[in-house]
Amino acid sequence: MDDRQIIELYEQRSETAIAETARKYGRLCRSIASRILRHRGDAEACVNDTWLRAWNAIPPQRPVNLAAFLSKITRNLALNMLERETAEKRGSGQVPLLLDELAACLPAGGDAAQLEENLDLTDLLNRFLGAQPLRTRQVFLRRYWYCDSIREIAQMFRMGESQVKMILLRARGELRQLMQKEEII
Amino acid sequence: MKKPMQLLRSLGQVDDTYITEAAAPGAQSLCRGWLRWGVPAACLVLVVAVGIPLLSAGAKRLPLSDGSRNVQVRYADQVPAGSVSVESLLEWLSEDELLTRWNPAMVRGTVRRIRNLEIRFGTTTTHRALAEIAVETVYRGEIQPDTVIRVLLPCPIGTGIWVEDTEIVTQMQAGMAGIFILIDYDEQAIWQQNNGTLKLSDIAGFGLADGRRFAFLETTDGLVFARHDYPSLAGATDLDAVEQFLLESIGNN
Repeated sequence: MDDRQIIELYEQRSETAIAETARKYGRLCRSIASRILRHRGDAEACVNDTWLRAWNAIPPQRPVNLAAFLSKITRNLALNMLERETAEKRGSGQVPLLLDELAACLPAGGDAAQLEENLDLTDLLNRFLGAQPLRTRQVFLRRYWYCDSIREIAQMFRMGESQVKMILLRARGELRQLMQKEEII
Repeated sequence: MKKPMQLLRSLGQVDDTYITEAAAPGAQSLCRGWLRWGVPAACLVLVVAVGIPLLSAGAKRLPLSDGSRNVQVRYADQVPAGSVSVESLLEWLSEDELLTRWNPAMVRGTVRRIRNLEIRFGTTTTHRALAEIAVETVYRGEIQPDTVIRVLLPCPIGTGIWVEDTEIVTQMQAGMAGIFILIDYDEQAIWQQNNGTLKLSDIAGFGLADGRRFAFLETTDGLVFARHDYPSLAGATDLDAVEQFLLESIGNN
């Protein structure tokens, strides 16, 4: 079933909308949630919440890109859940590593960096991503959006882990430069 | 909220196109059945028409064989900007794969002329360009030097319309020297869309797989090519360096 048909099911308030969504995007959303949360039960709860959020959002929303729409919901829910849980209690997969890496984009003492509270960096990040070559952009998002491990990324792109690390290192450096240039940090 | 987490959160809201692009890099080799030929297809930048623009009245129509049906191709003087949207399906390929993936032809030559095309499949219109290249050197492929070949480009040229992943080919101009890595359009090379079929060899002998990675151009600003995709050519400043690299690569394969 294509996305247009699935969205029509939501608009008709058909109960099969969620079943069709789960059939088509369940694996994708579980993959995103499990990379952030690691605990299987939490990841499943996240995915189920995603379907409920989608049900409540469509209509009036009519996503142009249903995969991205659902992925964003799942990722956000997973990060919310992660923040509520302590790392020692549940185990938190790649996220602590990702946060350490992203802290390098900020001045020394990353947590205390003077990022304006609630500042929306999305526009800057879109411009940063748009300026990157395709492969760099994909590697960067596989790491910091999809929360893949270095090893998984290396296998996906058929490159060495050191090459993945180098791509990410350079990309983070460029992001930091852009943030400095625009006086975000 | 701690600042790295703030950054991680903001990343979550980036453009949907980037998220989808990274969703399954390996799966992006699927060209959705629109283009097929006898070897696995690399992905192209597809220019998809939105709306129903009219065919250029009076524009010269290209003759097509019986292998093409329910399709018309004309030279286009103008490409309506508002009628174009883009999907980029570039598959990531290593440097070695870019040179060997589908046994491409490789030539050095000079662009003689570029003309935009209007291709109409039923009620759907899309736009490409046709480049005539005078071949000077053949590195690989069954092409004769000192002949002129026709190469189908993945986007219209000189229209001012930005098309994702075509930043190299859109710089092509008549009189420009370059090296080109080409797909040979054999009898099986067809483009199907909206119940129409275009036999690609009806309009061109060759094509570029995408608008970024298969052309090396000598522009007034120097050598331009997809430098990130060819690490071995990181320091290349002229076509001779590219030529040397290709000859070495062909020799190794």
